[in-house]
Amino acid sequence: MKSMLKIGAKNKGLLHLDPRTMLLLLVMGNLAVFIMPSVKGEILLTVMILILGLLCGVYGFSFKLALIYFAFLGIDYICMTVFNSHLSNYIALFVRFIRKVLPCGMLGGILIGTTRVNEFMAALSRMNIPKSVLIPLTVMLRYFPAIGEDTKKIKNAMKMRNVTPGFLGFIKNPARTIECIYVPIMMSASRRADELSAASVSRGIENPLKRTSIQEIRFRTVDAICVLAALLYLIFIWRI
Amino acid sequence: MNHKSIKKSLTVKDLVTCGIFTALFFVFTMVGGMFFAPNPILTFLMPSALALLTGPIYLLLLGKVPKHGPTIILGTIMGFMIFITGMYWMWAVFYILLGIAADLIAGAGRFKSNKLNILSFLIFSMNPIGSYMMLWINRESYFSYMLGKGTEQSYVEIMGATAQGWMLPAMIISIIICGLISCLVGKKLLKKQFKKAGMIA
Repeated sequence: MKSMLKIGAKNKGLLHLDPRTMLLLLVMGNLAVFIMPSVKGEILLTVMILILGLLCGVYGFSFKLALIYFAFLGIDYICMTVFNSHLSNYIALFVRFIRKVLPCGMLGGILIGTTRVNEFMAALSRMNIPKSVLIPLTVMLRYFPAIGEDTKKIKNAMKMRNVTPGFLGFIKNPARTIECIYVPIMMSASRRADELSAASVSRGIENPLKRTSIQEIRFRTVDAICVLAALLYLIFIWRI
Repeated sequence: MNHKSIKKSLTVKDLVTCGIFTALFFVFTMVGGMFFAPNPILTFLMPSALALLTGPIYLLLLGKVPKHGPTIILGTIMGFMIFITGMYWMWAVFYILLGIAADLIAGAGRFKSNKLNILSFLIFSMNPIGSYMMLWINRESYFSYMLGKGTEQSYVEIMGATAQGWMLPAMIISIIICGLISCLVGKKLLKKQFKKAGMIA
């Protein structure tokens, strides 16, 4: 995920969607999960999102999540048909619960992976969202990949100093494990907050005037096609 | 929400800090949720697990931005994310309302009083109750909502069987206990690591 979310890696896909279109697709995806009639419809949704992810150039992430999705589908099927005991029913429930979240998780990942910060901010300020929500929301989306990187590094550092990360270490020595996870994560969070705010102030985020963007933010034909496809899909599963 | 007063008192640095800590808060919430929510019995432990995980982050956020606003922003964005991930809508509403309540409580001590900050975290941690309380208020409509959303019939049945009358107060008490533990650990960490490093004003 790390390499995919680098700034330089963006825009390598065939499609480039407006951030607002992505948000609209996210809402529609949620609606689709909400009115989902059958497993077949769900598979269709996942495949559609996978295609969208591939067209947008988010290859590894989309493939990984789609693989997890189909693996869960398989586990569910095996649990229900082969074993069908109390325990396997629990496993199936667990797997199904997470499976429902995956399609929208994929969409969210594609949104984070393809939109630049300036684009996202320009699109949101067009929607007249106040700055007190706009800035934290943008920073948050930008910071998610960094949390993943940080956690990986912290785990490595913990292994090096012989503190077992994860559940086992927690049982052995809870206080130390908690300290070793929370302190570096929160330290790096507050340091990044300082750096990021200095960077954004020097780029003129405090400007009270309306935000301009060097990149053109508008709905194009591809946006219309994507939204139309999503609409057709929604009508399709609604009618079934 | 009163945007004008927030704009006046919150600087860009505060907003960026809010964003970063909200991201951390969301990740820890997801970690806790992933373990507990998929199981219809363990799901009742989820609120206390969330309270246990998020305390230090909340306290550090208040320590870094001791002003009116950060918990409201935290609640608003968390509510938005919870809504987007398809949870029950009352949960999202509770996030925002309790964010405002937490802001007022912590504000009564000017965000410096330990006791009031911890109390505000405990109140804020009650947010999942917004979803679970429907089990006792209007069980039928809650279940039909969950079934309509695609939750399995068996999940709903086991959940309904587990939700006895004593469960709601038990949940609230467990949230309070876990939240207190989390806050005490968080306070200790802040004192030991962050005050020394000059990270908190």
